[in-house]
Amino acid sequence: MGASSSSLSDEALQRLSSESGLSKSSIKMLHDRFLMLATHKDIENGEPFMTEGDFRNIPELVKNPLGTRLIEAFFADAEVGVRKGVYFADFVKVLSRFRPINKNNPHPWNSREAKLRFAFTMYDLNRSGTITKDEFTDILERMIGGNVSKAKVESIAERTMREADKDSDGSITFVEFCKAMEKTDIEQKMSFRFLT
Amino acid sequence: MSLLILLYLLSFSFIANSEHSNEHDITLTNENAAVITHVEHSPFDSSDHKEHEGHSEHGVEVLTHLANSTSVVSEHNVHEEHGAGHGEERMESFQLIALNWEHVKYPYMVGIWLLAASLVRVIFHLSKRFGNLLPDSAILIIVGLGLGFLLKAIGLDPSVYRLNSDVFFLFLLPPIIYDAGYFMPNRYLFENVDSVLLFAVIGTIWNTIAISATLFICSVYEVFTVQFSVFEILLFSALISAVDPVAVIAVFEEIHVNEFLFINVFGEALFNDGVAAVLYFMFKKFIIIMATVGGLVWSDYVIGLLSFLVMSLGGVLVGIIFAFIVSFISKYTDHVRILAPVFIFIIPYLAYLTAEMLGLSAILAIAVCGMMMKQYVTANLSHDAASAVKYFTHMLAQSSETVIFMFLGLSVISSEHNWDTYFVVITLVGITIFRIIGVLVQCFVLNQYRTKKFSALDQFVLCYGGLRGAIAFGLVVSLPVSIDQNIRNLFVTTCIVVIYVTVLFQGITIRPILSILKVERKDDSLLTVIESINHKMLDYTLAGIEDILGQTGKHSIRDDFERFNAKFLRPLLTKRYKKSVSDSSKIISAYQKITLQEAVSMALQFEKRKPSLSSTTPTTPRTIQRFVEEAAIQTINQNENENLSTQALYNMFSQLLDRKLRELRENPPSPSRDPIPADIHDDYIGQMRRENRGELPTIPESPGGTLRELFGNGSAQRNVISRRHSQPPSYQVHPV
Repeated sequence: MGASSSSLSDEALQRLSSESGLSKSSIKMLHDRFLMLATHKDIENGEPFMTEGDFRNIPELVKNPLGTRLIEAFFADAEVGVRKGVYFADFVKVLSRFRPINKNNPHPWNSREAKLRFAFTMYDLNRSGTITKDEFTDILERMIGGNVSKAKVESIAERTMREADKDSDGSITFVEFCKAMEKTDIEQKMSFRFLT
Repeated sequence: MSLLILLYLLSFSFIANSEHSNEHDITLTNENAAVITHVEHSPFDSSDHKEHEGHSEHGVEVLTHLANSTSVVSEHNVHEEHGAGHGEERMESFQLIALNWEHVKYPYMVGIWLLAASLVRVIFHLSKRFGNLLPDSAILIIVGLGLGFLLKAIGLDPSVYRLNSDVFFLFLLPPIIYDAGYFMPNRYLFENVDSVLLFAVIGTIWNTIAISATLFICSVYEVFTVQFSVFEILLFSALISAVDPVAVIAVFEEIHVNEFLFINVFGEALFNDGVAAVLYFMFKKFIIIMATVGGLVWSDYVIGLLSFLVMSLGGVLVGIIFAFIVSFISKYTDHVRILAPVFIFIIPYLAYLTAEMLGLSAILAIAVCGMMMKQYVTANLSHDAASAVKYFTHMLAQSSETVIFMFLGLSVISSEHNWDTYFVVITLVGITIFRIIGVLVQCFVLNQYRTKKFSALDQFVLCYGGLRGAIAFGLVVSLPVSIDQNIRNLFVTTCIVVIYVTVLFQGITIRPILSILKVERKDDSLLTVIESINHKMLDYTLAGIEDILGQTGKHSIRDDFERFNAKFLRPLLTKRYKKSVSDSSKIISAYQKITLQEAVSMALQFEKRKPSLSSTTPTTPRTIQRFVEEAAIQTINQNENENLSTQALYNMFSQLLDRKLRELRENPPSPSRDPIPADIHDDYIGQMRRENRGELPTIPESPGGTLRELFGNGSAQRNVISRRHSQPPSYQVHPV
């Protein structure tokens, strides 16, 4: 990565900015936040990274019913893989998904497809490319499970699968997911204006 | 049209000449006044006694004139005493039929006005071409205008059909605002709260100042026939700059713009009334103080400005308190179910009156009350009661609106005019230009801070949707008497012209313009289950991302409120609620609605084919199973030529069935219980039968409910179907 541990070199800043499409001020803001959250340092090059524990230290996040799932999706989207944690570049990559779309200057990292991809990952954790009924039921359970009987959750899940699963193969593919969401204004919903 | 004329001629045909009847019934006036009109205490002017008298008399006048001019002159009656009301009754011989007009005249008049106004709408919609050409509000105004000419030609005293400001503000306006608040899409409002408040507050203030400056400068240069003081002009500007929610609803509801536009225009209209009213009363008090004491001290100014905050926030607070009260009460209405809707209507109305009494913004109070109480109240009421409330609210609002526009039409004839061409033209031009400037500047600023930006088209619609209406008129007729009569008439005339121009011209042309400009229409389809689940999922996700980023944005705030709501408010204000951390009701209700719809359509299909089976078979799991199997086979056979995987279909059905059977076994239904518990039976025999069985109606909430609703006994099935047809369309996304 080449960045020093507590400040971002201009070269790194420039690289990240052009890679992600975010402005330099946004990246600086993200960097400050990252440093606040990351408590672990890579032994080899002294770079800070965030583990799941770091994420769970964010107090509000734990109260969120989908908090743990969001953390898992974060890791999955960043394609952490062999590395043990989320490095700054991963942090930037995932969060750049939530940058508002600039029609004059489109960027693959925050396109409608990329946003939907993140939403898809919230359901499809193992990144198999399809949402199975169990994965769907899992999320549903987290969101409404407290109020509703298990039987009802299952019937809702089944109903939804039937609605979205056009080719009736028992799972929802990414294309089917996008089709189901075509009426929703994703571009506006999944954007934060302060990420410029 | 001829029907109307006939109606009116009938009611007014007994008038020999109006002056004559006035004379005779002078004594009647005073007595009946005491009995009938309680509009003596005018809430608008607590600080001026002269004012007070003028208003109470005015209020009394209207209603009595209303009756008097249409009352049967004594010569036509058979010796009915007039002057003693119901006191002595004399009859010289046995009268088989007598016309007892005096007895019923007030309610009769009210009834006839309402009937006439509603008939106009019905008649116009009989012709599809005409019905869609003009918005209803425009039609009513035109008809009212025509009616006014007619009545004048008859020689009817104009004060009969003058819209009295007390009647307007106390009786006609509250239902409309309540309806607006109750059906307000809270979610959209919250997402656009920044733009709505900006338009409502800053926009109105800007318009007021700009117009008053213009008019005042012109008046200094003696462009107009009359001279006014600063405050008088400010008063007028305040009332004329208010965008009217009644007019906006009337026009926009029919053209189905997308929710984003609608919430901005409508939200602005609703909230800026609070602002305009506050400004109006502030300036009015200034004027009255001037008239009383001769001058204003700086403390008056300061307190006046403070009153702005106090009136608006106070009104909101009153609304919240009353919303709390009504939600809490509705929690305990299980055993007096029929009375539950009473609270739903009385308490918000009391909120309105309380705010009015305290000098706070009553409009804001009742709107906020409606908005806040909705979720708790709908959870507490039975399905029937909730539908009844919805229907009745709409009905009240529509009838009020209808009557108001009719009166606006009549107002041209009934008001005393003072026409000043320059004043009218400059006002018209002024409000248009300043609105455009205001919208453009505000949208420019807003767009810097929002993800959902206002496009040029949006801004155009916002400018064009600035309709003035009845509230401006209501305010202009309650101008203080300390203002010179000429000036008041000038203001009234101008106000009427502005209302006519905006409602007629803008109201009529907005629909074709929107379709030419291809503005995005509202999508009327039901939100699918997967969409509602995804929306919820995204809500949580985005709130989570905000937390990761360490920002407190809309999502976090909304999330915090929902958590607070789920933990404290809902258990407190709704019955049978388990404490939970999240609110799942939207997903579940979406699911239930869609499932129910499908189930009913399935039942409709079956009933067509097998009407006998339903009425004779009892409800046992065995019969249900057989029924569903047969249904499944029928469906499969029917769809054989389509490319449906019959195996998949059969699997689906049997899975569904297995699960339902399991649920049924776990919660066995009592065989005689009504599957669709109706709160009210069609007739008293049905009611008695149920009471004899000793049952109390319950809300179907067990999972087996859906199936029971479908395959209960025959009458229940018929109930489902007939109710489905007779119910108002409650599953559409309403713009209000």
